[in-house]
Formats: sequence, structure tokens, C-alpha cells
Amino acid sequence: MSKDQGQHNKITLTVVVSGEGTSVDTNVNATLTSVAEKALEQVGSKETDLSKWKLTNSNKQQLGFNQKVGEAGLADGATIYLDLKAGVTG
Amino acid sequence: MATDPRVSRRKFDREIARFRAHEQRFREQGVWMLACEYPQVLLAFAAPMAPQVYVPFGALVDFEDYDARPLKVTLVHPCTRRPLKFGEIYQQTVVLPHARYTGRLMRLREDPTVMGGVAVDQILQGYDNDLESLPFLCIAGVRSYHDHPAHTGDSWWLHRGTGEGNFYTIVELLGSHGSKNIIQPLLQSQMMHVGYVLQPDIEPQRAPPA
Repeated sequence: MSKDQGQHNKITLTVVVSGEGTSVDTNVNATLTSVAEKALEQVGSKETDLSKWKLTNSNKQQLGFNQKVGEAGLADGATIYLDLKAGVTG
Repeated sequence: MATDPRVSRRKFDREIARFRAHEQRFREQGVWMLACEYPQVLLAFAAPMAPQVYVPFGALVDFEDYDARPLKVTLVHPCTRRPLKFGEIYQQTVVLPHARYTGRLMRLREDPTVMGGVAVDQILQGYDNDLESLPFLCIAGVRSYHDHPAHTGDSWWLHRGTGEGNFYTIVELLGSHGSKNIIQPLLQSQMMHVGYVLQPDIEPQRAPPA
């Protein structure tokens, strides 16, 4: 991959973590796991276990953490939402 | 009361501002803020995917003593603020290829250890499933959950500050599991035998006399 292509693959996403937005620089080949972990770190979330979070796009479709940014159809400037799952024990 | 009301008020303002920043997205998901005056917020939860507008429930969120204590969330009639009984919140049914699940505010999650691969958490529960009782939300971060005798080992202080129990998260969960995925009402009619329908057997008119 040329240096130009690598630059071309770089994008910035807005990740809304429980209502708090943060910008995450990433690239189309990175996994959403890395995006989510970076977003949680940036907002200073105490809950960093990704199994307790769900990720959705602006169309309210759930995204898998193992998906790559490009595979998830996310372009530069896109917003995704990281919300806590319900902690239910019955 | 453990929290200075001025502190609760500041946290109320901060959490409402966070909700307001995303209010249009919530509105599209059927979550409408109807009233907002410290310490209470009244919300309605509508079904955005249904062809007609259904509002299965409202919620009254009380910030009093927040956040030394978690938010108090009561499901109410959105017009009158009257708390809804367990039986007044209609059951929701989902039919999957291998099974049919029914509950009131359910969380479905993949779980390879259960038959069919899908486990169900009942987020709204009634005491002994009594339809006349007031239900409670079985979600960590909500006052009714942490006050419940069965959850004395899961203190609010283990969750406080993690994001669980903040207003945005609670509203998002109520919308996701309570109204967002409703696609149509489930109707049931009782059949009664009230009469008969006849095959017509009409006598021809007599020919007039010649």
C-alpha cells in the first residue's frame, strides 16, 4: 500500500458514548473494537468491558465490534453510538 | 436525604443537557420529553415503526437525592402521570423461527448455552406477576432494582459513575426494550355463535293468471 493510499484510508468518526460525543481518528481497516476502546478511553469511561456495550449506527442498526470500519459502511465524519446494555440479573 | 439538593440540581441540569443534545435522535426513536422541571422529567415512549402511533407507556424520572441514590423511574400514564399497573403495560410478543417469547420490556440476547440460542431477560417485572401490582424495572442503575430485597448484594455504589444509571442510558434502554421495536398491535377477538347464515332459496313468483 502506498503512503497516499494509507492517508486516504484515514477517517474521523464521532462516537457518542452514553450521550457524550468524542472524535476518534481511525482508518477503514481498523476494527470497531479499537474505535470503541479509544472512545471509552477518551471520555474517561469507568466501564471498559465491551461486552457491556452495544454499538449502533445513525440508522439504529447494531454493529458488531469485530467488523472493520469500512465493512460497517462508515465514512469520514460518520456518527456512531456506544450505549450500555441493560444490566439485568432478574 | 443524602444528597444536597443543589448538587442533585446541577446533575439534573447536566444530564438533561446531554439528553437535549440528542433529542432529535430520541424523538425519531419514539422518545418524547413531555415535561422537565427539577426534580422530575416526564417522557412518553411511542412505537416509531408502527403504522399508527401507539404510546405503550410513559415514564416519570425523579432526580431527588441523585446521585447518592439512583434515579427513581416509574412507568406512568403519559397524560395523567398515574403509575401503571403491571397488567396495564401490554405484553409484547416476538416470534422467532425456533420459539415465541412474551414479556413486558424484554432484552433478547444471543446465548449458545440455551435452547434456540436466544436468552430472554425480563426487564419489567411484577410482584408474583400480579397484574394489579405496580411493576418494577429490573435494570442495574434504577432505584427500584437496588432497593429490591433480591439485589442487596448489588449496591448502587458498584454502578455509580460507570454510566449505568445516568438519565441518557436509562431513557435509551427504555426506548430500546420498551417501544422501539413494536411493529403492530396484537389483536385478539372472542368468537361467539350469534345466529346462522342461510343459502338463499327464493321461491319464484307465481305466473300471473292467464
